[in-house]
Amino acid sequence: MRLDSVRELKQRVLRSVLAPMLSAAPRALGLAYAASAVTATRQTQRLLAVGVSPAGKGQFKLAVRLQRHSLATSAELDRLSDMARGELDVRFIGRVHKRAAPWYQRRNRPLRIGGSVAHFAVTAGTLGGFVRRRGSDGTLILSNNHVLANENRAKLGDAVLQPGSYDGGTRRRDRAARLERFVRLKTRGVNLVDSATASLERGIDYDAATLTGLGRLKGVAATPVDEGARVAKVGRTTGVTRGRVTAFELDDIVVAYDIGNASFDDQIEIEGAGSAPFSDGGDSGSLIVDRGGYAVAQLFAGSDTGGRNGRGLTYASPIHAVLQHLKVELIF
Amino acid sequence: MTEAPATIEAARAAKEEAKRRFADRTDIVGIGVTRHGKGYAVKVNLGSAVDLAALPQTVNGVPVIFEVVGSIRKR
Repeated sequence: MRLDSVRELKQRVLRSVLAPMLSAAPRALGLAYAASAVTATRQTQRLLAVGVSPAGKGQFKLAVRLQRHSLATSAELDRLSDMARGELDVRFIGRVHKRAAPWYQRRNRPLRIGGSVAHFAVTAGTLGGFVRRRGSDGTLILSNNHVLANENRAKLGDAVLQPGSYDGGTRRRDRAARLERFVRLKTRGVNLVDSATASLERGIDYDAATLTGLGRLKGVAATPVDEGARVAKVGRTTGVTRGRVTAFELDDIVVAYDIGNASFDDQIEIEGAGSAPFSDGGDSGSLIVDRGGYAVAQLFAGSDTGGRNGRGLTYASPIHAVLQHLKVELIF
Repeated sequence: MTEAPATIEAARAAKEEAKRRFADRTDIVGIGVTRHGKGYAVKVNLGSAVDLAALPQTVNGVPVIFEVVGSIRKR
């Protein structure tokens, strides 16, 4: 069928077949049922849905999606087949569930590397790891300035939420840390890192050694990464991804922030493995590790184009520079 | 005769020279070092497509690789 024909057929099906089915289905009576009785009623009728399905060469079929096996032999489906003259694409899809957010976009207690985190006025970034100030026992969260310090605009002591507000975190319920220190982002001159730390709230537990989906964090890599090095990360938006270093000692990288463009020197560039990007918005702050599980860099920026797969390039600061500027050491 | 692969020291020096040569260009969003064959090269990232034929293919004898990466944003 042509596209306009199948669209017109779909409207006729909705009026003459589906509308009568829906009106015949038993209704939930809300407060008339006790909570335990609702599951025992037949009010959750699983029916069928119709749409348009491409059939190749500019042709289309009426797409029919069944939520009950018994509908495959129903009078309604026979009628649809007659109306479409057999040009149907019928599939059983069963019950449709709301898709649950992955763990890294949910509340994590104990806190986990790779989970959603942010200053209360920032949407969401990634908890990159846990560090301590030399000579101190206090544990700090490591992420970017633009995640924990809102691009220099936050005050020391401000609430840091896990998960970030974009993932439902609230100041009342989800405060996990307080902004402790940040390296100022400069829109004039050269930046070397986009980094900040936040001190854990009392009683907040954490797992500093597990890179969920990748194994254990082994420590900090002794040598800088070279071009071609295989790396991986776990982040708030794209979860576990793997990639390859495509350039290093990159200078004059111009990164767009809300406060203006900022230039960075001595950075690492990474492309995603296969057909996937290495990162996306919200992965900022992720700890990047080598194949041995040793930390090599902190993710903070990216482009939408470039790389062999055309899915964009990711930019990261060498982990030694991050730790040195914040005067901290990695806990693992 | 083919040229010997550039050492990393030569690529680093060529990167500094490329930064000087391209200092006035506003379409460059990064200059670094990358592998090229058995040696190293200078990598120049561009914010938008340009006429590559008008750009140098080598700096101080070190290959220059250009790539259009578009604008770079915080993640």
